[in-house]
Amino acid sequence: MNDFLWPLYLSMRVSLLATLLVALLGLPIGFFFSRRQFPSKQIIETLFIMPMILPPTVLGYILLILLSKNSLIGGFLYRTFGFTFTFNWLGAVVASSVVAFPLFYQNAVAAFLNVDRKLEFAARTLGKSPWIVFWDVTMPLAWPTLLAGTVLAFARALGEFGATLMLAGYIPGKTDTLTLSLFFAVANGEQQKAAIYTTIVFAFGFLIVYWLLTFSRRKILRHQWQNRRK
Amino acid sequence: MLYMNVIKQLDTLQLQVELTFYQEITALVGPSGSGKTTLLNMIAGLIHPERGMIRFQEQTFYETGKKPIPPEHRQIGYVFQDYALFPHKTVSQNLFYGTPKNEPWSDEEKNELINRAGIGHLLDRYPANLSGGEKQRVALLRALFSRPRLLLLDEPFAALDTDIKASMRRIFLNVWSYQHLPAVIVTHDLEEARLLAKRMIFIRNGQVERDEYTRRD
Repeated sequence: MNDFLWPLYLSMRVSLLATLLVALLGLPIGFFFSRRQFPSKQIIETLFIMPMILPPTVLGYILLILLSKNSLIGGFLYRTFGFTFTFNWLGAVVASSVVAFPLFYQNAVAAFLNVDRKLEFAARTLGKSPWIVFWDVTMPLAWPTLLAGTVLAFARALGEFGATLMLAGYIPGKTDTLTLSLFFAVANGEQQKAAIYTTIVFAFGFLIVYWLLTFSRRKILRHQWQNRRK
Repeated sequence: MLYMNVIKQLDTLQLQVELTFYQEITALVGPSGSGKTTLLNMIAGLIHPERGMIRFQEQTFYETGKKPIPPEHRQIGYVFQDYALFPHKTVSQNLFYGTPKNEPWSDEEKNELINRAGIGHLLDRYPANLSGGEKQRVALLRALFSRPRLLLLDEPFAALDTDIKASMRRIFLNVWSYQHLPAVIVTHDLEEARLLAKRMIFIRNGQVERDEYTRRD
């Protein structure tokens, strides 16, 4: 693939995979945390949210410590499967997933908390199992907020820089995502390349935020309209 | 027959009752916070007592130390105070959501009940476009269409304006008389309890205060 387009392609691949991972993990975790109370809940939730406020380099360093070949987890993966996340594009997926997770998680919890539990109870008394109730009642009512969370997570994954650089490094043709390429283009004085990458990231970010705002506003307007008709 | 002997610690009081319900409409009457709705929720299996027993006909719903029967296997129709209609489903989809696949209703039976409730013209609407009285009737029929063995109603008329309450009660009795299911109605309105129920059980501070039969037959 063309050297210029490769970072764009890689970023899309990394972000889509990270978003998928985040959604697959965040959906059941978000549902569980929205419905259950247990003693260590606050501590675990704090850990989930931490990637949002931690400096990306700190997060990247933690991931490096956890996943490098000399660490417990990374060492096990390397010895057993001959595989490592460090200096590998899958390391970028892990870094992007970790920073995007809090955005999806928070939206998922909010989405599930907004579903009136009485509706779920009503469905149970109408003979439906919790699994059926989840897909028949909970998900159809929670999906707009879940979708917003997914889009935000994707945008965050696409913009990920610091943790990715720490864990996956900058290896042209291998781990050079769009944001990393932008940084090194500026460092190397390739102003035109940097300007094009910046325009792409800016336009994409603008479209996502614009869509989220109009989408949320439509939801609010529809809700108000429904209330008026009650 | 429904028998319950339960103990449950609530926020401000301990609910401790032993009750038997028969094949009739029974009203649980009492002030707010006395534990009436908690009793309904325990019968439906939405919450569990700390200890005790709940038995309906030959089935033990709950017994201390044993795994309770989940709500979906109790065959109980529950009309919630705010109706809990599924906002993303039409009236028609709401009505037949709980109908068992192996026991479908005939068109004749469906029409009879829908006509008794007077909601035939609402079937394609969404709950957001219904009045309070219409929602109440849909919720009642939705519970009945699930072929319950017992009907629970939590303050079913409380949210309605005074002028339509009377007609809603008439419609309720008309619909209920189609099956004559045993029913338990929670209400804080003594007049309503007298009009609808054959028996009134007064609950206060989590205990049965009085248990009496009304004049209604």
